[in-house]
Amino acid sequence: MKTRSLLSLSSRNYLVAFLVLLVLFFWAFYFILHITVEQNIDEILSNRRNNVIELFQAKDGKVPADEFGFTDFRMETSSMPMQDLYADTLIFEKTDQEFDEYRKLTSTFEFKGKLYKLEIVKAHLETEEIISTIVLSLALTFLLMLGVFYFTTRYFSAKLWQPFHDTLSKLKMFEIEKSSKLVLSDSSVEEFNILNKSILELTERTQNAFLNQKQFTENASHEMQTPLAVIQSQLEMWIGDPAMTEVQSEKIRILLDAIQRLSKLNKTLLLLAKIDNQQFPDRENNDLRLLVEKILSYFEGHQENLQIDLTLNLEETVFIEANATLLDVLLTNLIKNAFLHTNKEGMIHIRTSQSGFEIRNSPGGEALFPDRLFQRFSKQSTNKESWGLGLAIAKKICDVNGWSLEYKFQGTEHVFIVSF
Amino acid sequence: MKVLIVEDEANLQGVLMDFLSKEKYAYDAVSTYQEASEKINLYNYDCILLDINLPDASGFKLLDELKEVNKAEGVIIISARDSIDDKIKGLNLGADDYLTKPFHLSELNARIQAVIRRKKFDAGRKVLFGNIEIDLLQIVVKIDGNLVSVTKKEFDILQHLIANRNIVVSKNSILEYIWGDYVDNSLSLDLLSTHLKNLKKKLKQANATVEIRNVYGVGYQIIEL
Repeated sequence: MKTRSLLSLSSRNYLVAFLVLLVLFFWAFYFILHITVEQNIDEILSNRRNNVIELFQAKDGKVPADEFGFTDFRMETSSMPMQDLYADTLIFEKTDQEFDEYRKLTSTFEFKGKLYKLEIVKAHLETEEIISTIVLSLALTFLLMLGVFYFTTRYFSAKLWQPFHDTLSKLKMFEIEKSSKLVLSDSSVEEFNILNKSILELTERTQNAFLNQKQFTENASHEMQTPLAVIQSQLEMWIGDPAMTEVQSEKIRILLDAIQRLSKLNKTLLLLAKIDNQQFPDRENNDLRLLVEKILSYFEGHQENLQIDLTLNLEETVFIEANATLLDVLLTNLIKNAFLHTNKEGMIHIRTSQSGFEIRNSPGGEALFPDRLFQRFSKQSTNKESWGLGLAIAKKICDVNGWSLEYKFQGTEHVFIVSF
Repeated sequence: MKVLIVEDEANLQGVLMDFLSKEKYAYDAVSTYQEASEKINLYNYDCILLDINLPDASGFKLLDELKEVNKAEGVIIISARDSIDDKIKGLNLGADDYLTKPFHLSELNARIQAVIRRKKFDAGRKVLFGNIEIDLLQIVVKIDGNLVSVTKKEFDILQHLIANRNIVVSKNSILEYIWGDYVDNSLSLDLLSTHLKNLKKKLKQANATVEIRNVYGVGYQIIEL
């Protein structure tokens, strides 16, 4: 949906409403004015008629002459009496060669037993012009006022809403993971202050909840270590007991495996929590090639065992500034992942350069779903030993370092790329 | 050889006591900083297993105290906190090693021996068992004085088993010792059996007076014949 800012929306609405009102007002104004003026003219005409008739009677049936030598009436004998009639008419004006609008009163009267018809005209022109001038100049004034009003409201509204926009932009920048508190400036508008206060309370509560939750995972994992140690040590004491039968030993092996898995899961969760809690602050320069070679040294036997064709393309003297433990975990997880998901006699190719680390392996099953790939506990393999945390951790490490971790499926190859 | 256990979790303390007595170590066990402090002022120990989270004070305080009274006991910190800062702090304060819970008893045993070996200076360079001699610095194995060629992994496994001689060492603890968190256990199980098969063959060919036994698929044990 297309959205507009509050300010432009409200000023636009005002503007439209005002324009509609203005048109209606001037339409009404024009007609009222017109009617009033017409009534006025009619009254003048009526007065004039009385005047003319009076003069006519006073001069005993002689048509009165105007003092200014100008006649605005016509008089003739008539056969039929009629009602007074006011009407608009057009009269040809010789001087400017056009028809001009006139108002005409037609009236009949009796004098000494004879019936006369009297027509009196009055030019409409000046009144019409006056009305037009009044309406137009008023309309212009109003439009000008409207313009000024529009821009001043925009200006003042912008000023008025400024603290609100300030709050908005700060909220947008606010990150709950960061320990930094949200700071909102006071405003002279009460509502904004209430809003700010509510936002501050809300973010503080959320931030505390978030911190507590992070702390909780770490504390819970730590607390689990000691009981795990008790169980594991006790079980290991028993496997050496000569009195153990094979059946009992097998049961203990199952328990030991379960405990081992539990300890590893706990360690992994702890690692995730610690990355979340930013407990790996020390950064140093790591030689990427040496690190990859060190990790691969652990896989020597596996590579031979699985007859994996391992090809390396490691650029010399690439130094990555990062926390050594985290970089180690990231690369270990990706390499471990490749070894776990490559079929016998498959291939693994590792390439490192200044800009990134790339590992491809094949064949290793179908393409993976990239959107679930980096989620915690989302596993797409049937391996019981896996929790689906390795890639989640890899992604997290990339995130905290501002690197990108990308997955692609090309032909039969699974490709993971870390871009430093 | 005398070990002091400083651990407030009674059950863990109990297992540690069982294990140490089985391994013929003499030991004292305490559960508070106060008691530990009294012990170290009265006696000398070869090794102290120190829990950091004690009810009355931090284990670090005991390290300070050991320094003050000029005692050179070997200290292994046993902590539930898998924290690099704690590790560095502990080692800076004079601890010899740092073990995170949960740990394998064989791992603990190996580390206790390493600490004690270090205390005895050069004497600890070589480990003898039956007619086998292992040089930890040069990474060589000799049987009856003759060099036996072993791979690095085979050496590590043999050395770890000999450190835990007569004890059944679980497969998991060997996997962890050799490959740590780098390789998934599911990948390494086969490899471990291969390494052990080769190792057994080499020991037999060289007429070693020791034997590696596979104990019900749970683990391995090295014994003198």
